[in-house]
Amino acid sequence: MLLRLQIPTKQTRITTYSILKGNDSISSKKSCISFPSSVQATCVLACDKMVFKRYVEVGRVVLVNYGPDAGKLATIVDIVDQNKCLIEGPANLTGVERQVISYGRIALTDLKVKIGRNARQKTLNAAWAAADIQAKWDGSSWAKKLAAKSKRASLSDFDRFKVMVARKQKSSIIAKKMAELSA
Amino acid sequence: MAPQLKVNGTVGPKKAKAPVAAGKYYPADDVKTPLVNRKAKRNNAAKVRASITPGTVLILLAGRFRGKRVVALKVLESGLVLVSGPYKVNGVPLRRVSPAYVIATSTKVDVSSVDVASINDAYFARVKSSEEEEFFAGDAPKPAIVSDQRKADQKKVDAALLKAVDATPMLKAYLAARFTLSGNDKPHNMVF
Repeated sequence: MLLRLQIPTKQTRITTYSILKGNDSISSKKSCISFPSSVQATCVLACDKMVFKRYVEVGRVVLVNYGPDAGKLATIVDIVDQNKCLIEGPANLTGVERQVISYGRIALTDLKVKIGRNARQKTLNAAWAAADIQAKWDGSSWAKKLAAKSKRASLSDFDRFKVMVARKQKSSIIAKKMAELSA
Repeated sequence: MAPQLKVNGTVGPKKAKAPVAAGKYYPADDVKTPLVNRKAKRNNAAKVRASITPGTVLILLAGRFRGKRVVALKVLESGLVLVSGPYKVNGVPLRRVSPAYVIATSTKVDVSSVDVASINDAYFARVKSSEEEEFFAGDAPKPAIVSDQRKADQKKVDAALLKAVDATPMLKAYLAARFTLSGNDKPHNMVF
């Protein structure tokens, strides 16, 4: 199994470490991974400087994760209070109508559009088009993971079998290559 | 002349039925005549669900072939489903299975070229050995003998079926593999 770890370094840039493991049993997950001491050091350093990057603010693009609109994107249009905000899709693009929603039911994304408080749908649409939000979202690994998840859920029994065979082939190729490199 | 009225039903005294020709004497003993069982002739087999059609790949859930993926060939009069492994692929012979104990998958095999018209419920009827013979045989285990007729039919059906299976890549390996659930699989949420 190829395990990818994302560790923010000093410059708050994301560095990807690929670590290859022989087996992927749950019990051995923690014990198998060992970082070089330098990585651990930068990890501690980075933790000190870690700050919030996503805020609840007007224009913040959010993912609705509960209720009939679950899985759809929306934009925060106004803040109601500590517990809820006003969101809208825009409705004609994502299908989320203007509504007050609890923060517990939304997840903040990295994306943001430039709109004023309580902007109307037309303005929201223009802002989305200007920021190219849909394309940015589709390109994000978050959206890709969601897409993969729903794709996997919709696979038939035969498809699952094919995936299983493909996975075996992949791991055998990797194992062979690794043996070659370490020899 | 008064218009004639159409009378529905009978008015007035009923006509006496013609007397049944009775014997001269009543029988001394009451002879019981069996009641006519009108249900016996009815075919009460439940309708097989729409997802099971000829060619559907089924996952068997019960019996000694549980977990095997097989191809449905037709629905028999008794409401059971005729399946074949094919025998060469996963060892499941021509066999009747209850549709209640199978999962129907969305995978279909083209079985239009497979001829199973001659195979019906009577085909699977057991040959009764005489009681006396059985008594003297005792508890000695009897070897399972597959008749030559069955072997020939299996060969004939599988020849056509294998051709259809080979037409789809990986399908043969799929049929040969056993169905299992592992830790995180939730069968009620899975699509088959």
